[in-house]
Amino acid sequence: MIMCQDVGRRYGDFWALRGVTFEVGRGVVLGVLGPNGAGKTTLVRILTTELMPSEGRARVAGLDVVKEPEKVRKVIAAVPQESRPIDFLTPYEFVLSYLLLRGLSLREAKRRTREVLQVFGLWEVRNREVDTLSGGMKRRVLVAAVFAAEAEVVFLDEPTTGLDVYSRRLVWNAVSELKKRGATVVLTTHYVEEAAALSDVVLVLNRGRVVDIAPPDKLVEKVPGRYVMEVYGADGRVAESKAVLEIGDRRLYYVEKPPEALSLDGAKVVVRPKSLEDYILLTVGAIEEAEEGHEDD
Amino acid sequence: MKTIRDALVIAWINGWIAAIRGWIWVIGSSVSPISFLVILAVYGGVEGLKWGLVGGFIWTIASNGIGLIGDATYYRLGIKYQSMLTAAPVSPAGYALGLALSAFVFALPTLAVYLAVMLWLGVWILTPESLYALVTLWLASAGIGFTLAGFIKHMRYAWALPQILSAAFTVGAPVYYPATHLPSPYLGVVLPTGAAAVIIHNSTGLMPYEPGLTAAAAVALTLQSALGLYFLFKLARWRQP
Repeated sequence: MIMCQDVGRRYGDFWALRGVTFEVGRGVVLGVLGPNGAGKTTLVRILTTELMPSEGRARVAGLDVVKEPEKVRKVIAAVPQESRPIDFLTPYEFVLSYLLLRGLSLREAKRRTREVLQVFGLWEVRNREVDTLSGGMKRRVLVAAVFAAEAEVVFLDEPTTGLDVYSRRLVWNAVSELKKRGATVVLTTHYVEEAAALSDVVLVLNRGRVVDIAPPDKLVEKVPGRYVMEVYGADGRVAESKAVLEIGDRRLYYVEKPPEALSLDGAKVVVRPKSLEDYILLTVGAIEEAEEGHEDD
Repeated sequence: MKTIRDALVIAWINGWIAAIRGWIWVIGSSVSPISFLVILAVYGGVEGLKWGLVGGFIWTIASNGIGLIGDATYYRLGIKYQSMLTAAPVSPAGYALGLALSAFVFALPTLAVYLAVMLWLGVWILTPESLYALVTLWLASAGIGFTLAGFIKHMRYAWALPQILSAAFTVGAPVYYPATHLPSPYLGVVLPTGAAAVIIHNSTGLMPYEPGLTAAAAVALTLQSALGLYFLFKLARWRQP
């Protein structure tokens, strides 16, 4: 459903994305993880036909994004990063107009608008101007519009950033529902647990390059040990650990099993099973912002 | 057909709904042309009023296209609405024409008042030549506006650029004065507002020009609107190169 082969994008001498190669099939949720400036949004913008790649080939639903952009646009829908609905419209008007612009008949657009606003808990506020809604509701309006489009491939670029826990879960439900319908979903996020919970496959990007692509549990398997002891403050030493990661005064020990006795010396200690977050911490490491600012990422 | 439908949907949300919820914009869009009109009426009497009405009408039509720079830039950079539409079967031409059409919706009350006063003063602007000039001017300015909007990288420039363009297009071109005031009247047809004004001044009887000048204005306006539409369809930055 989505195929990238050596896709790259350059701004002058700076490569925002380079050598990106992967393929995912129909009905797959692809989580795209990486720090700011990793190339997530650049990749999304190329696949949604908004940005020309500098090199490589990309196909969405079997269609070439460079040579057949009009055809691609018929089968995709996207919530761009940092997007907001038009503030003087109501949620009803925004979703309805989006569906009309996608070519739906007025009757069908009205039916889907009503349905989707109910699904996303927006029916009660359908006639209020977007400007008066909370940040979470505004974001849900965007996701609702895209959800109602019933596209084959849906791109959600950081759709849950800044949302409260309730709104985040409504978006998560939408992603699961899209998958059930057979749509392929590309979900970029900073929330690792979100990618782990929703994605069938996770693409990890850093500095514009692919670090890894695999199902979340396969990535977690690559983390040494079974448990993680996070120690903050004075050094509560762990006798045997397979790996140690230091983040300021915090140490993460990757162990097979947590030691029974600890010399804590007032340190705060958390013991938890290893997770996808640990894979990101160990492979991507410190969050490195892109050196040059770009419109995307 | 889809392009027209897209334009109408954009005009509905960005023009009609915006106008009924924010009537201050309707007044705002008419303030500048009316201020010129008042000055011309004070200093030029009825004749000045006629020039002010015709000039204001042309300015308002041209500002439909130039004014869309603000909306287009806000939708592209401010709230990323354009990115949402790029990933949908929406044509850039339909979107741009919709933005220009929505500005036209805002301007309708002003245009109606202008038209009524012009008819009352015996300035008959509804001639085929004038209508041709107004439609092509609208297309040319929409093309120029949307294309320029695509090159703006910061939202703050979107507020300044239309003002500069408005001044250049309405004062730099013979919109409120005869083209014969220029070193060569043919310089008047370089900008679409000037070309449209030459045709309209001549057709309304406000200023009879020689046939060569009006023919040059018609040709220039045709080329300018064709160029504007070409930019709209081919070069407007729906996709970043």
